[in-house]
Amino acid sequence: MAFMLVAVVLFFTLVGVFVLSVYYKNLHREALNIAESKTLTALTSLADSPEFYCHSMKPNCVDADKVIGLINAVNKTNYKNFWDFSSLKIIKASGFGKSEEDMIECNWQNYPDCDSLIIFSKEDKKIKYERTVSSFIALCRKEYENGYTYEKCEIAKLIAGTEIKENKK
Amino acid sequence: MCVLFLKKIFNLENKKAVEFGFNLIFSLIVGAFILFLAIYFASKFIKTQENVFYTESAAQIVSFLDPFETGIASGKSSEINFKKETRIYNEYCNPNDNLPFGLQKISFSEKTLGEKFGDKGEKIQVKNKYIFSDKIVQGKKMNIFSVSFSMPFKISDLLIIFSKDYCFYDPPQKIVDDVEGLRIKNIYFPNETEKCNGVRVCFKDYSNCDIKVYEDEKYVQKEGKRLYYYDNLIYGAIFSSSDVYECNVKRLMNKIEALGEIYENKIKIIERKGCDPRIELKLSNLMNITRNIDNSKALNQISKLSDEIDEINRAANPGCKLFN
Repeated sequence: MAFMLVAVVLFFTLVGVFVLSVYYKNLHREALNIAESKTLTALTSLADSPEFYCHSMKPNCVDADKVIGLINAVNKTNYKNFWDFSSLKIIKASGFGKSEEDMIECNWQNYPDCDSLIIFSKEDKKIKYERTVSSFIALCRKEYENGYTYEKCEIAKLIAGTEIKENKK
Repeated sequence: MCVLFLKKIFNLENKKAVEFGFNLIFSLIVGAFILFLAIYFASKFIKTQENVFYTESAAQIVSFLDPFETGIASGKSSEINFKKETRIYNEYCNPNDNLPFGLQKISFSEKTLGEKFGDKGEKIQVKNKYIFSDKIVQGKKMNIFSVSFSMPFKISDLLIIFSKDYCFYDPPQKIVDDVEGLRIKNIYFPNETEKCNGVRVCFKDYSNCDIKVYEDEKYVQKEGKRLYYYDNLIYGAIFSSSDVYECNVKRLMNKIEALGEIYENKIKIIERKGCDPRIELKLSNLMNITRNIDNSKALNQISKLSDEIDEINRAANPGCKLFN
């Protein structure tokens, strides 16, 4: 009888461990889903944030001059911890359909003749895997022509990533 | 029946000795141990579940605040309804954590059995939002509204959370318009003779008031402290505890420095496009002052410089304005 009791306890312990492992696996997945939906909701309002919004105050419009200013800022490294994304970048219309290797990354010298504005990448945050979501935006910048300064806008994609902590792509 | 059973298991027929078989003793000890373990782990599991739920709720509240980014709107408002009496804890705010932006942490708990509040869930970090509220906001219904804060360019949106009723006596028309325009609930504008069961906020006659707003000197007196304000920060000063307010003012000033650097770089870009903005020196002064502020009292000094920058920007050629 005593050994039967021990066997029953062991059996239920094993069942408990199994149930807990299934439960915690779901919890992990749930955490990732929450993080992803958080990235998506944050992304939709990101264009209206003070670091990005256009001078003309159009909705869903990003000021490219400010973004290149941000990329070139000493404080840029701090911004990677300001937003909870694993990466954040803007792909200009000229970069649509191009592979990452073929895209010309914008910097102080080549701006605005470039394809992507990388605010921070997953490598900057030392993150291995991520899942990205994107939103179309109007990307505007100041242009000078025939003695006038005006705002020139084009379509672009704002892309933000969420870290995936498990070793799966 | 029961006596017979006891007699049998304890061998009570033989009055000289009581026999405890190994199996019986082992069963009793192990049974008690198993029962203890079962109760211990069940209570642990319930505690963990409660903690997970409270932490998830805090994270969801932070996510819920994302769409409050005002963008081109002057503000947004909404309310959250909970099934039970709930507490949002806004107790941690540190302008020197996560430099230069500072950090707030919020946690959540709700009433459990016995009318007691459960232990707080894990704290959720808030790095890119400025939440103004009491240290503990309690209620089944909470009001949230956001207003933008500019000095002179837009710095961020201020998120205000409250659950009590507020009565504003003799407020300026701008505040009445803001509150009515945003349809913020639980803020009333009673006459002096009308009864008010909420927090009394006075703008002119300061007798029998919980919060006093001195518009000319631009400060709010509450909890025995003066909270200086500029622009929409008046709402932060009214609705939040003094510690949370002062911390968020410092965080906002740090943000001016970070945004100032972006605008300095933008100046260099638009100079290439035929513009000649004459803001750079004043902008750099503004950044230097905001770097070293101790409390909201410095807002008076900063506001003058901010107004000067705003004036220069407004006077610029429409195509060459640095900000709107």
